[in-house]
Formats: sequence, structure tokens, C-alpha cells
Amino acid sequence: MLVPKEIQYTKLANPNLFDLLCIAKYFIMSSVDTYSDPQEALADIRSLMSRSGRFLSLSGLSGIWAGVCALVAVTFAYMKANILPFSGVDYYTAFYRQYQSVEAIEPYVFTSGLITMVVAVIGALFFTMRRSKRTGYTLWNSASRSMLINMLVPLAAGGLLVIAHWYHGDYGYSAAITLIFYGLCLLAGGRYTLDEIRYLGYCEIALGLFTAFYPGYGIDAWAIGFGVLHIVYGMLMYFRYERNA
Amino acid sequence: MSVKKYLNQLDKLLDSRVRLAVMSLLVATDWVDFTTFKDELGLSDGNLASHLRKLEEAKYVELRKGFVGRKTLTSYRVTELGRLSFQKHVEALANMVRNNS
Repeated sequence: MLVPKEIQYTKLANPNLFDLLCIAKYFIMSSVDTYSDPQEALADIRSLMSRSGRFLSLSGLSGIWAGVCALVAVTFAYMKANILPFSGVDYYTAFYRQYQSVEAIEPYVFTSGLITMVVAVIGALFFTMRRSKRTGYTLWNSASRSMLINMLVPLAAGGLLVIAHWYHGDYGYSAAITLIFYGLCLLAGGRYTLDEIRYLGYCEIALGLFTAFYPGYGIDAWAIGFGVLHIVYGMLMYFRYERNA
Repeated sequence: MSVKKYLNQLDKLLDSRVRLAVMSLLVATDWVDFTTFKDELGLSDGNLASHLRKLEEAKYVELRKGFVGRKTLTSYRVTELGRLSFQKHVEALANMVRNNS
């Protein structure tokens, strides 16, 4: 092998030694692609898995906001039908007792529900976007896309099922259906975000099934499921992941 | 316990930074397309493709060809074997860290 001029008069000029050095260099170069420190490897794995696999920008504040919106809406609903929490009177009956007619119930429940949902979603989006800006995670990635699609399916199915029930003049299961399908929607989305959301899903489903047996507590179950549970979940997530971050 | 024991448990195929990164991305999600890998890892087409081919030959990933407009876009998903190997590799890494500190 040709020894370069720079090292001609040094110890390295020994051709055998130079060959050896070249071979060693080759191995060092070829191993650049590997980790020398397992700790570094683990840290990289962790950051990669969190960056694109899961949607981590979901803010706990979004949950708290949604919960507060739900509680405000339910309070108005209590006042509208003039009932107290946990009275065990189903909303349909209470509404009839108050107004001697139930014609107004569908538009009222529908519009107030819609307004609550829109306000809750806008607020949730705001907090989540703010968080995503702070942490530097992208908001719209393959994880959030899959999450959205997977969540929309059970959510839309549940919504249509409620409308079908209304269509047949049946109001008793509205709370049960919305809670159960919302829980399923959270379970479906749970694969793409932090695991804790699944527990929220299980709670919503359990609550929904309870109110399927006791429809009189439908509106109370709504208050707990969409209000209290969201706030508890949101606070838990906020204090666990965001406050110190 | 010597480090050597753990070295044997490490997966040769997952020693590479690029392949380990690819697998890290894949195990946390479903299908990932070629462009996402490129953006996420900042690699050239050729380099990335050769690493993906190695993973595919080992049956660690499966691929699906789709179209975006007229261009083909290949998506990848981790196989059960790939997930298992990745888990074993990560466990071996974690053991090394635990027993060295």
C-alpha cells in the first residue's frame, strides 16, 4: 500500500502498521451507524416513539374545559325542566311536567347539545394547539389523523343511533347511548395517545350502562360523565404531564 | 453478570441507528409511508431504502404499495416477528444499562 507523504518519516511509515491502521479505520467508519452507548439508544427510541407514533399534544386543560362546558349546559338543562340533581325523574317526564308538552324538547336538547359540543371542541382545540406549539410536536401528523378517523366512527354511529331513537319517539336511552359510544370512541382513540384516556373510556361506558338500567338518572349521568369525569381526567393529565413540562 | 451475555441478546439487525429508528417509529403506530420516514429521519432515498429492504428481507416489516397521484408511495408496517425482535432488543439494552450503572 502507498504510504502518504505526511507520515513517510514517522513510525507509521511501517507499511504493515499502516495497513493495520487502515483496516481499523475501516471498521470504525463502518460502525458509525451503531450506538456505542445503550442509554443513548434507549433515549432515541423513546423520543422517536413519542414523536410520531402517538399524539401527545392533547392537553389536560382541554379536558377541564370540556367538563366545565358540560356542567354549565347540564345546569341550564336542570333549570329548564325545573328539576334537582339526582331526583331520579327522567328528563322527558320532567320536561312534560314543566311545560305540559314535549314538542320543544327535541329542538332544545339538540341545539343546547350542539352549542355545548362546539364550544367544548373549540376550547379543547385551543388548549391542544397551544400545547403543541410549546412542546414542538406537530398537531397534524399520521397519529392524530388515524386517531381522528378511529374516533369518529363510533362517535358518528352513536350520534345516529340517538337520532334514530328520537325518530321513533324514544328518549330514554339518549344518555346511555351517548355515554357508551363516547366511551368506545375514547377506547378507539386511546391507541394513539397516552394510555390514561382508556380509563376515561371505561368509566364512560360503565356509566352509560348504569343509566341504561336507570334512565331516570340520565341527565345526572351526563353531568358526571361529560362534566366531572372530564375535569378529573384533565386535572390528572395536567398535573402529571404538563405543569412541570 | 458480564456485559457479554447481553451483547449476545442484542439483535444484529437492530444495531444500526437507522433501522432501530425505523422500528421505533413503526412499533408505536400502524402504517408509515416512505416520505414520513424520510422527513422524520432526515435520510436520503437510497440509504433509507436499503435499510428498509434489510428489515423487509428479515420479515421485520411488511410493505404495501399505494398511489399518491401518479407516484407510487410505499407504506410499511411492523410484523409480529419484528415487534417481538424489537422488544427483545430494547429489553437487552435496558438490561445493559441497568447492570452497568
